[in-house]
Amino acid sequence: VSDRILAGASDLEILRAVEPVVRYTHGEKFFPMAVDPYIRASSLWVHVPEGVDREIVPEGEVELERLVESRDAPAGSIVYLRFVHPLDLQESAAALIGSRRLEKREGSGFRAGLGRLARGGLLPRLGDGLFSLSLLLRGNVPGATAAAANLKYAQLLQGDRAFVYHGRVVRQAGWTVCQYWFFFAYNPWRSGFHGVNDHEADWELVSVYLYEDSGELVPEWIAYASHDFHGPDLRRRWDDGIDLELVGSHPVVYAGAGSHASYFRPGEYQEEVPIPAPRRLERVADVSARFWRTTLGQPGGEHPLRIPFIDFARGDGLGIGPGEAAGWTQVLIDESTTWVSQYRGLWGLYARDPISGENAPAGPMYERDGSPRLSWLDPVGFAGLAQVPPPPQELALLESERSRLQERAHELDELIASEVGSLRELGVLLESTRGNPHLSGEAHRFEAQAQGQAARLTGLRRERSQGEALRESLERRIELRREGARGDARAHIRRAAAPVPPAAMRFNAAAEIWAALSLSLLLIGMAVLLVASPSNVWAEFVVLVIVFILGEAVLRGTFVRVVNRLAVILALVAVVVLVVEFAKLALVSVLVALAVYLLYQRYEEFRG
Amino acid sequence: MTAAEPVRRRPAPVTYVALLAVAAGGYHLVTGILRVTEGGSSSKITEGALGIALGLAAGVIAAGALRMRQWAWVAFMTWGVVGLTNELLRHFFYENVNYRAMALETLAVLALTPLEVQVAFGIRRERT
Repeated sequence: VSDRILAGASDLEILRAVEPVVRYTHGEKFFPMAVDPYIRASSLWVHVPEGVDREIVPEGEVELERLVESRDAPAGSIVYLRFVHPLDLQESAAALIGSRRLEKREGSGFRAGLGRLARGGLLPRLGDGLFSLSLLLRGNVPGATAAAANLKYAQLLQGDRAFVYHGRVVRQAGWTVCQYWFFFAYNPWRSGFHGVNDHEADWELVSVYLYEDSGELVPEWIAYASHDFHGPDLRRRWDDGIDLELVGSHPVVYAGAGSHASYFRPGEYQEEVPIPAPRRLERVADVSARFWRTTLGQPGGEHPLRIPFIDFARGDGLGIGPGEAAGWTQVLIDESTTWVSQYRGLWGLYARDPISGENAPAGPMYERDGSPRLSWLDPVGFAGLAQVPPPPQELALLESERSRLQERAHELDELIASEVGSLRELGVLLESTRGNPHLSGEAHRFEAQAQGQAARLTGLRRERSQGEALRESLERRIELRREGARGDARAHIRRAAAPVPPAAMRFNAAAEIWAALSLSLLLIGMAVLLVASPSNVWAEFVVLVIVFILGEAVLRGTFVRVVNRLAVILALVAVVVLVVEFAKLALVSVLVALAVYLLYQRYEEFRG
Repeated sequence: MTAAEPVRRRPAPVTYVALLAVAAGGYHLVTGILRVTEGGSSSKITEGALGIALGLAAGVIAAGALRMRQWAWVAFMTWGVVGLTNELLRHFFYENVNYRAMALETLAVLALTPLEVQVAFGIRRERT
């Protein structure tokens, strides 16, 4: 079999044997690169809390040795690299023009396609608009940084256009884990692809889990780090025909445009980004979403504090890896690699964003706060594999568990027999105390003892019964394993990212134009009402918003869903109004209804 | 030849709402006819004509609901949105609120909202 590797192979050979194929979206500007040229082209800074940011090492003088050397800094300081130096107005304009020219020359422009704006609806777009406005208040990566980073990256590539992964092989709990760390100079998701954030530097991870069998390493699982997915949901089994695409022994990754997040299948993914909100507001939103879905049984009920964004992972751009237009350059890393273990700072600009979306990430080994990164310190637990034995160990473990259960069953049989005997002895004693008032104290004692023993006996019998059921299930699994059956490759997945079906993303041109204009039109309409009819402005705002929502629903073909949602919301408000307005009448009605119901019940009893 | 539509069982709340609509429609129709036949100013005649139109519309929607037509459910809900918006705006910002109409519209919307009613009308296809 082509995907087998000798257990004694070198780390580099193992990495190369199952290295991924990564397919990017057309329009992607930044690709995996080596860290050295990036470091050399950056400056090193420190952010001191409540103070100004200070340059420690200027651009062109940062070498690996200087990056990792120890420095005194007050608690709470953040050391960071800066790929693009602060730009003045003239430099910003030059960067934007230069980047546009480069894009044109390389034909690397990106088109979101029809439907991007219309797919979210009016309210999510309003949230999107507010989110964009929040960037003015939060710290963020300055406007022209992406363009300047694009130009600088292109300049760096002129010297050496190598596509690099930083590979690490780690052996843990019977698994051989190949980690592929991809480093990017910039993450232009917001500025280039209508996404959530921009930040300097980006690290992405793909892990392959292999086990040893008869002197060979066999790949069993693969995990892609992705937005909002954790543990078992990150991984797919090597024989997962639904999600996993293989080119020979190489898994295929579809990278999100700008975000570089990894996906198993090509397509456009709708991501929901939580709006940072006070905990109390979060709780209210949770309760209302649950009330909508569970109590009212209504469809939808999306969390109101989430903004939908699209991650384009079309896979129609450059492909890197075996059989693709470009190949990988491998760089081995481990704890002895100094920049991995000794540099705890950020790999790009610290933008002072309190929710961190625009701050650069730390390296493979650390989180932004300098604490160890789970994927590095526990690669097996990271993908929820801590409780999953490698296949060759599974049968032995199953058999050992079966033996343990059988032994426990024998023990329980003996314990049950003994408990039954002693309970009967107690029962005889208890019966002999009946009719003897002078033995009432003894009778109470025996009774209490008997009750305790009976409860214990029930517990033992329950354990015996459950153990038997578990043993039978183990038996079935052992049989399946002996026959070579693998079980469901996707049984561990609770939630899987799936591309949005094209039909759900494409709207007609009218809906798209309306989507582009509606938010501004709504605001202009409100402004006009404010001037023209200031006395009834709130009522007119409400009517205007409802008209916009219904009009948009007609264009998007979602009128039935929207009218249902609106009617229920209005009815709920009306219920509150009626209860408040007619509290006394409502109370009287409830009491009379209760009285009639109880009378009816008594009448039924009397009759029957 | 078109395929026969599947026979859907009508949930009880739909019958009540339809009867309510028939009653309200009948009221509008009768008062409308009376106003038109009385004659008088053009605004009174227009008001009467509007009442007749409303009464007829309510009757048609009720008939559609009794026959479990999807469009009838949509029409009821649209009516609910318009009516409730009108009454709620009157309550919060203006005067002359018709709380009886608000209560009836609320009842109608809540009666037509449950999952089984939507499934019966074919608005939602799955019980998920």
